[in-house]
Amino acid sequence: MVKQIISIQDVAKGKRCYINGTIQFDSTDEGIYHEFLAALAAIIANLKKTAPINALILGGGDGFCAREILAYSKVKKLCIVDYDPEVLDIARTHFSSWNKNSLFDPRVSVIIDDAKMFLKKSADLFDLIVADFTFPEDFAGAELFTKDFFLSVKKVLEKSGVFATNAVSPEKTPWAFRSIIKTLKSIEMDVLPIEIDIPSFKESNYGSWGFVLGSPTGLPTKRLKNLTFPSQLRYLNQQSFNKILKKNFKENILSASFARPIIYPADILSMLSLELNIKNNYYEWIRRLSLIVSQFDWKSFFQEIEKIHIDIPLNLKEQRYEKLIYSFLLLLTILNSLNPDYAFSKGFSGHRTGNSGDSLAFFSDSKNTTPFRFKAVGGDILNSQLSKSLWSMSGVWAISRTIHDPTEADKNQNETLKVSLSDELHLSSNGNIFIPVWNLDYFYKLTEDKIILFKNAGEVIAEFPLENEMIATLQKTLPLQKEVLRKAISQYEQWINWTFPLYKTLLSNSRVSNEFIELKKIMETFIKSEATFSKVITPAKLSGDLIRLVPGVYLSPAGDIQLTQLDQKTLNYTINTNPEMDKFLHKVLHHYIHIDKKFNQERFYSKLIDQYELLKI
Amino acid sequence: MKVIHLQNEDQDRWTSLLISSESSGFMQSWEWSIFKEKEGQRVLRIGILDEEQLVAGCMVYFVKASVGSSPLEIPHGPVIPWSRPGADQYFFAIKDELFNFAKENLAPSARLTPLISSPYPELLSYLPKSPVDIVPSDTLLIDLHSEEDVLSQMKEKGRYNIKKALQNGVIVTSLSDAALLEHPTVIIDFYNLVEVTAVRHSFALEPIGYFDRMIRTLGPHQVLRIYQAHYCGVLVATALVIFYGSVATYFYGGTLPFLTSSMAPYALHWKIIQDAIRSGCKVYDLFGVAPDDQPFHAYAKFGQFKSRFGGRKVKYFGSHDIYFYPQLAKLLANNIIKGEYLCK
Repeated sequence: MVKQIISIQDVAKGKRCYINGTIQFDSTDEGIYHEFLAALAAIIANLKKTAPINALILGGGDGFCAREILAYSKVKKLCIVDYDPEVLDIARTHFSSWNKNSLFDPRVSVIIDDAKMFLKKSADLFDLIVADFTFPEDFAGAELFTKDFFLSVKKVLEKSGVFATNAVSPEKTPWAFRSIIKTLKSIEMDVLPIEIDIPSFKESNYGSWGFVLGSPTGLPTKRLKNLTFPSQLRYLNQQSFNKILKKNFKENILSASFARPIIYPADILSMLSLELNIKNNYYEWIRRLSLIVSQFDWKSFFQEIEKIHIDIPLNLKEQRYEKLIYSFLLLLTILNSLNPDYAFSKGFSGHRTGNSGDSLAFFSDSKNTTPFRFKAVGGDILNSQLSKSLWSMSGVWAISRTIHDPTEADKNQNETLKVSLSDELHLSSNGNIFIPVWNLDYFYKLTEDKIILFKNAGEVIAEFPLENEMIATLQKTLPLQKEVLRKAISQYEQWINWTFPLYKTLLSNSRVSNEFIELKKIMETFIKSEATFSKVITPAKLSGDLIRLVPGVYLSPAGDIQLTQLDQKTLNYTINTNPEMDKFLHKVLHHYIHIDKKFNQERFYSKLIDQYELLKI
Repeated sequence: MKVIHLQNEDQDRWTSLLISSESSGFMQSWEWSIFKEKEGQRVLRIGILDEEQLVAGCMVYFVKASVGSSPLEIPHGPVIPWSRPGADQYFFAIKDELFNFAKENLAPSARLTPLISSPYPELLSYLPKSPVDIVPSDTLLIDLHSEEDVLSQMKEKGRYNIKKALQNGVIVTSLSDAALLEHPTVIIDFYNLVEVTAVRHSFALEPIGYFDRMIRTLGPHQVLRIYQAHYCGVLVATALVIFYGSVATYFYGGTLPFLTSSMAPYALHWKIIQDAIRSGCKVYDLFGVAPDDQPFHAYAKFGQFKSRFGGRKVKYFGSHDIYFYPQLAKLLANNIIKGEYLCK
């Protein structure tokens, strides 16, 4: 079995546990997750069954779902099947105060096995089954959402039994979420989709979260509407449950038209890949595929279509030709996303192909592999053109630059960029986060509610709202880097203790002493920074088809310069309104016209040149 | 000439053919194909026999789904003696077999990525470029004649930083596959550092299970090593290197964002180069640099680091697709004309 990485990190108000980099629980709000997944399923099982309940948890070795299920006296037996003995060990030790020692309950039996294997072998029938697996990132994980797997669950589920499964984000991945629902429906289960907001998930930009409940003989939702929920539940009550029942899952192109039962693991992996990964580069895909189909042998292609003798539905005949081509390109994108082999597309270019035009270099975005590993920017696949705005500070070494920050009370104070958090974001010696604008003498400073553009040792030029992408990067990179730093400090300390048993000797060795102190100082800046950004207001996403030049500064499709306002609106910038802004924008356009040259084949390029010339004056 | 599907008993002769080929790499190896199977992909192993000699072929990887099949991917392949007479025939025989296979599996295309540099064979010139390159098409190769030769062709800064790293007391260790299985923490330490690096630079990263499976599958074959560079007891840099045939490939790597003055990554790569020379490798492939005309490519920064080791920049043919029109027409009919994937 595959090794899992389990780590527990301190967060603002509690602890957060990650398995393989994905949040397993956050002590401040894990109750929301487990009550809506397991407690709700247990309540429904209680309603449906008068006799003692025989329950099964697949995955969920952390003991939290067990805690919820064991709260009901009708539950006489609970079997937990998890393949990772380490998770079970931690559940019995570190997590025991949170899971109320659930694994030690006499009703519980623990089996270390693969869920699929267990289901294959099991001769027992269960009244309640809860599947609490980690996010599907590979074929092994994706198999646990296929029709075959759900059929094997159904085989051991009593006819009147209840099944609940952890799913994906209905907000970020509506297509995948609806496909899970359809898969359960396809095996003749009555289903209840659940969408909830979990603060720690939201904070990590996973979006709202989804579960799906199912039962072969129907779910008594009408009875549930008037149900009095047990008082020990902190989040699940009549009000919150009725809100779920009223939830009308927003129909959109992806979720409504494309959702279909998951037969192969690749079905769900490709949906997730498309929704989280490719959608931000969707127009780039379309552009590249358009280039490819321009080389198609269309004659052969249409001859083949003729051979199929398919009746073309009337509504399709009425479709515009472009829509058909667009659908075809979308189909090609889907087919290309089926093979989730990141090794083959390791790395990506956040840039258009530049001057070469036909040079199709690396292109696997990267930033949004899964909602867990990387952030996912919201937005509809067909509407989000933010992909055009891919912009980073690649190629620029910013570390060691000295900043005189005009927003600081002490104007004489300066700070140095210490750690590169990402290609764009840098942590300073004072624990502030800055974005240098290439090697220009301009910086952005991130605060908990805005970004401030200033000239180094000069004045503040403008304030902009925080951007989704930078916050998500921050939320991912800060804890990861803090963790490796913690490890580094501990390793360094061990090495010092081993190498210099007498601390005096250490003090005399200035290099070692300085480095060790420096590492500890960096840790302080991390802690300070984390405290600031734990309060961050998650910004609203920008709509429209804007192209990002630098933070806060965008180009409209027509080539007009637009600035984002603190209320998230964007306004056209009128040259000459702010001389300092004019100077800044002139330098930004200079970069794109003379250095990066990424827009020189765009339709709006001449407009860009015009504005550049005007700004020069 | 005969087209066959390679069986287990063909492994040795396939390996001999692959190792002698200059236009292929480890992703065409039998070992890698087994790893891909373990990953859940489907593998087709095509061989071309000429007078009963195995002369060409390819490992084809693909995935099936309800919508159809993924493109038939042939990373580092097909394995064809491109400059030899008869190469055209081998290519068309493989193409026909791919077509047949695509028909059975409703695959829209085959994606070829032979490691050939310009001038490219005429018969490939009509193929459209793929929307993605499945292996880096621009890379940096260091020829490994001797340690002295490698050092002499390095940039001065590269040599200086290696020296500096060694003076700083950076210690580089490595573990082979078999040993790795006994030390799972090495995999976790490796992954932690690679993950930090991937997040910092916005690169895609596979889940840890991918590496776990890779190590377990390639384990018995001694083609993979994980390197670790420690400075003052701290793991500062790590790398996963594939040794296959005469090529060592820097496949994955990660560095700590702190203690950068230790210059540990330089000592790390120097050790890899030394090991590669000792094990008879002729080339060290740094696996990807930014194309010359893209100074703001995400690889630009890495390219700067890698270029300090000298080497020669190579631009490979890159990924190109062969589209199968009957299958595309069927896919269009199944998924669009029936209305399932029609954009509104």
